[in-house]
Amino acid sequence: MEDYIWVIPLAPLVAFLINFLFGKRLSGNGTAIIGIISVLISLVLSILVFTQVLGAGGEEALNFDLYEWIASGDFRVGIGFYVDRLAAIMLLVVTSVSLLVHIYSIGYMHGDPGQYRFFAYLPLFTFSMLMLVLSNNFLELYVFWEAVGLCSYLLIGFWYYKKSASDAAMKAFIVNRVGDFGFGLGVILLFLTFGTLAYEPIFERAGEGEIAGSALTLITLLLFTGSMGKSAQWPLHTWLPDAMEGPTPVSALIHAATMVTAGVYLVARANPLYDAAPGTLTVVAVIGVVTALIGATIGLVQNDIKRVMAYSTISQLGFMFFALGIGAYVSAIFHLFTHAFFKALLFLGAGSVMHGVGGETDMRRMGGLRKYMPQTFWTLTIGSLALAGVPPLAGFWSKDEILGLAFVEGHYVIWALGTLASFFTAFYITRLIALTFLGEPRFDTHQIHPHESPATMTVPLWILAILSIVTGLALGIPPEAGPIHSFLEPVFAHHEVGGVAGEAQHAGGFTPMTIALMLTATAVSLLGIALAYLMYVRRLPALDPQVLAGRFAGVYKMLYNKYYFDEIYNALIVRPSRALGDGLWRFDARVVDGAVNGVAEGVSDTSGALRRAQTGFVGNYALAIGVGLVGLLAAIAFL
Amino acid sequence: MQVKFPDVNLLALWPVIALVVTALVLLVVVVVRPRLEGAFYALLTLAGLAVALVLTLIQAGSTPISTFAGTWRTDDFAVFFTLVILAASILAVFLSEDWLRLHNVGQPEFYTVLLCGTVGMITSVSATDVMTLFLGIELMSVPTYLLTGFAKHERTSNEGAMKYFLLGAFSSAILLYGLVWAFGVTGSTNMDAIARFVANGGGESRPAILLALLLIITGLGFKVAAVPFHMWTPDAYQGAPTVVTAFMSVAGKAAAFGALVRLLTQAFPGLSGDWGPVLVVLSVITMLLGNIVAIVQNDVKRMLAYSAIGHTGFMLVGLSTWSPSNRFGAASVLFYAFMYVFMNMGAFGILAWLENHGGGTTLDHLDGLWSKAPAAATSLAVFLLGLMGFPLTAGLWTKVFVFQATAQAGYTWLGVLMLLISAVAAVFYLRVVVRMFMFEPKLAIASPSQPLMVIGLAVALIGTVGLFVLFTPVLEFAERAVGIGA
Amino acid sequence: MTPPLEWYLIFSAALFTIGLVGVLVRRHVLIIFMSVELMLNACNVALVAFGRHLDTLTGQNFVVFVITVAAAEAAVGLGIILSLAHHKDTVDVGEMDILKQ
Repeated sequence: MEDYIWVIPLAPLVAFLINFLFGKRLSGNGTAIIGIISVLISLVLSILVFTQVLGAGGEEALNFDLYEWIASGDFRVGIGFYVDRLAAIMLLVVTSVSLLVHIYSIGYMHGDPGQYRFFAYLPLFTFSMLMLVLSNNFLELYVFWEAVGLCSYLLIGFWYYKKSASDAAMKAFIVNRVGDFGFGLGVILLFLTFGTLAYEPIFERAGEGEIAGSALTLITLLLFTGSMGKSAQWPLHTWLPDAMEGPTPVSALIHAATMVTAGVYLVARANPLYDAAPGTLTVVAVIGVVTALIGATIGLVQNDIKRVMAYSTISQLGFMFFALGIGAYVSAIFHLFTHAFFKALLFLGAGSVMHGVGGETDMRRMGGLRKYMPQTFWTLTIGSLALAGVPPLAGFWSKDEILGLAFVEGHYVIWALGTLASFFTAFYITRLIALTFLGEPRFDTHQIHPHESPATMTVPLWILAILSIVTGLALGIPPEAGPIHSFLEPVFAHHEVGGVAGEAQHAGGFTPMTIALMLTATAVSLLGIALAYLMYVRRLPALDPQVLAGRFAGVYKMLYNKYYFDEIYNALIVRPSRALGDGLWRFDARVVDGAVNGVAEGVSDTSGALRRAQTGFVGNYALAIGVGLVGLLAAIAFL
Repeated sequence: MQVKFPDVNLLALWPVIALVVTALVLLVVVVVRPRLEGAFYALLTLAGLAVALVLTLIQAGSTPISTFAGTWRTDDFAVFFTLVILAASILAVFLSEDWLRLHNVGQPEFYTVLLCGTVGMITSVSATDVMTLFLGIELMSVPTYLLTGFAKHERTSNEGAMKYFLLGAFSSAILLYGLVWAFGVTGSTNMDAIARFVANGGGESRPAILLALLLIITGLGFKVAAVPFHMWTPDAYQGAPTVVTAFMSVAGKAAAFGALVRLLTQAFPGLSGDWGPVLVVLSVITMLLGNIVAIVQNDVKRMLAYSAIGHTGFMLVGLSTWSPSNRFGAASVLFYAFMYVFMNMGAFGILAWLENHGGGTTLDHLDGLWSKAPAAATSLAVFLLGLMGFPLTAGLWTKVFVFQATAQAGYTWLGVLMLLISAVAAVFYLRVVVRMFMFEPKLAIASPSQPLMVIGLAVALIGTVGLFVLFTPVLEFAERAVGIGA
Repeated sequence: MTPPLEWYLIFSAALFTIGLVGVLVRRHVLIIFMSVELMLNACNVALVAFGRHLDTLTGQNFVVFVITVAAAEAAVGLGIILSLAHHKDTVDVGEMDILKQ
């Protein structure tokens, strides 16, 4: 494996370089084909890695340095690879979704003048994401963590001439800085605590209990700040909905399937640290469940098809985080895996809808699209059912596991809130399908002639739809003890020594308890679907959405305005910091100058022999030097 | 009567001799051939600087040579800073040639003055005697005043030079008064002798020594642009021709820092408990004021001037953590100075490039630069990200190692404050990037050919990105230069 | 009998202070410049006094350096002043104010 693993990230990097340097001269399809070939190579090799890891029994992780990068005293960091079963499964997710998105983009980006830029950034992102997954130390992880952020920034602002797009890119960048600042501090603290940044020694020593719990709690909390930024967890979630300004394939790849799950991956990867810091795990669980609810409730009333999905992503990431928080690492990764496919499917389907109706994203101006775009309708419905958690689709198995484990472990509040969020999920996604495809057309049929998308777009949709059906069945049965568990257990193996999830494993299988929970989850989903169906398809007068919105105007307005987070941040952070900059500038220009002038006048007043004079500017500057010197003298004399 | 010739080891002076000879040759050539076509003068200057660079590289790692009766020492410390200064001078020549040509300003005079300044800077960092140090500082400052006023047809340039000159002379006098007191109290101008005297804290002369120390910190604080001795910086930096600003913000600052580090760690190591806290205070106000005032500047050149003040603050953070038993703080300053060369010269270089194209340096001029000159916009973005301390540029390591220095010295709060302030600084760097990449172009630019400029910018760009990967040798050299692991 | 060291030092400090205040309060460029020269000469006085007191020639050596440097500075400074006066018929630093923000 050692001899070819480096090809996996290298191939997209080469594609990036070719497309970036020579893309203008290649035809649009040329750049696409180069991208597709490179990702295909990565996918094939990733499958190979997967089979090898599967065959190896999962005891040993492959860990080696390609190049010793920093060697300064005891500070040694290399560029290296760490391949275990977790990395192998992430490789599969990244390369397969990336490949499908590349293919899909041929049709979607057709005719866009920036096509070559697009097909340069996309492989660059794939490269960075693969390196992030394969890193064997925290510094490398941090570097590529920033790199995927940079790609995301570039792609959100892809249509930079649109003000909303460049604003959204800026917002994503700034919000992520907040998280990454914490992450950076966490990495520095890790080094100060452990004296190294490599995964293996850190994880080994974290489990031995010699490191103070408070230090580990602080480190894991700081690392989790990074996760919150990247995975758009409350209260750092506000950038993701705006990120939908980017091209839709980008939303599918980066802001649904892969990059936003990097936060989940980070917690799962650093699980020995988190296990040693139970306080942090509680925080993770609480943030996760709060985010799951916030995202799902906001999604109930949004009218922009992509924004509904963005809030859905935020909410589903919340599910993954509270799974991590209760120690159900395998279930979190399982959900990450299935979510990658069905959410990519939903986004690509939304892109297909937008493609068909000329770029419209407001669902109030859609409706009745089913007969124009049947393939998109069916695939999108499969994705929606998977998201809603209807058996036997993928989302059912993974989400049910998370909720089931929360219940079995005795986290009844989390289970209840999660179940509520899952009810909302079923509701808003059914509403989305109903508003988009069912009912009568609400657009001007003379102006807009909806049409089905080309095969390059529908084929990836069908592939993802099939994956959304089978992955759950193949990996998740029996619940909490399916193949995914036996596969990933070695990664989290230390739990068996009395860890929380270790207990959970024993509760797996088709026991009366799990069956009851499965039935409950199914019933909740179906209820949500039924309610949305009655409201938006059958349009029961008693359940008219507008009447309800009027009756619960307060709640509706709050949800519609996304709990006013943007406004709050604007008032609390954006405006004051701008004012502070302005104020300090005035301070330097007026107050410092003024104070200097004042002192100067004082000097000349007291020394009567000297002509009373206004000093020139040079004098003011010199006086600042003099005052500074006197200040230092005073400081050293009195301290 | 016996005449004893002073013990002079010319080996130590090779690079300086090469530069002086080049400067003299230029002066002679200009008399014989006042207006040569092409880049002859620039190439001659570059040749001299290249010879000096090679000679310095030969000196690197060899045993220290002390000469002129102990007033000059070519050791790893001097060699490190000499390399930084020469690198900055070479880049400055590359960046200046096209500006001089397009503005029809006398090239040979410019290069002569530049070379003299370079010699002064090298003298400042090689001095082990306060007399030589003062000479070096003056030999560096006087040419810099001239360079600031070199665009003599522009009033801003004249005015900047005037202010810089008056205040520079003023601060030199303060520095000198401090050095005089240091000499008078300790009885010697030799740094090692001063160090022996103050090793036990100075005894009864302690107040006088502290006075001398503060006068010295004030004088050199002016040269490195520390707040509150900074007020000349924005005016001089904005008034000076952009290429000169690039040179003095990098080489001048490096030399002044070299002199400051040398003096504090070699002459006053015993008082690190006194000057450390002073520098902490200066560094905090310098970081704060520089980076925050930069936010509201609309002229990018002036913004970079305030950013340069902010970077002085970051470097002072590193130096303030120094103590005889924990020398890493000084190494972080050296490392910072090295990386800073490429990022800052590059950033100012792009502004000069724009000016040569008939553009200006305000944010409006940079709007939509990406659509008109993608290479220039991308390069400026990289340089600004470097100054910001963004990963994938050498700038990241500058912050990391200053932070490491604070953590090792138990000043972690200062390091965290530094990181917080650099996060704030991201605002004004990113604003430029956003304007370049996401705004509609407002103003057109002409396109004269600037061959040497492009080479200089390419070198700066390669340095900024390449040193992100290959920074280890620089760090090791810096550590050796300050006596770690020796 | 020679006066004690302290007298020279006080004299030097007084000169230095006069120079310093001159820089701060005067607005004629040449007078500011002369004040700086005064500060440098205050240093020279102190140097010679210290040299005599310590019975070493280093002080006088240093003075020679300082005088040389001051001469070079004066040459450059006057050049800059002339160049500016050429542009604007003033030697008043109060009127040099186009650079500020």
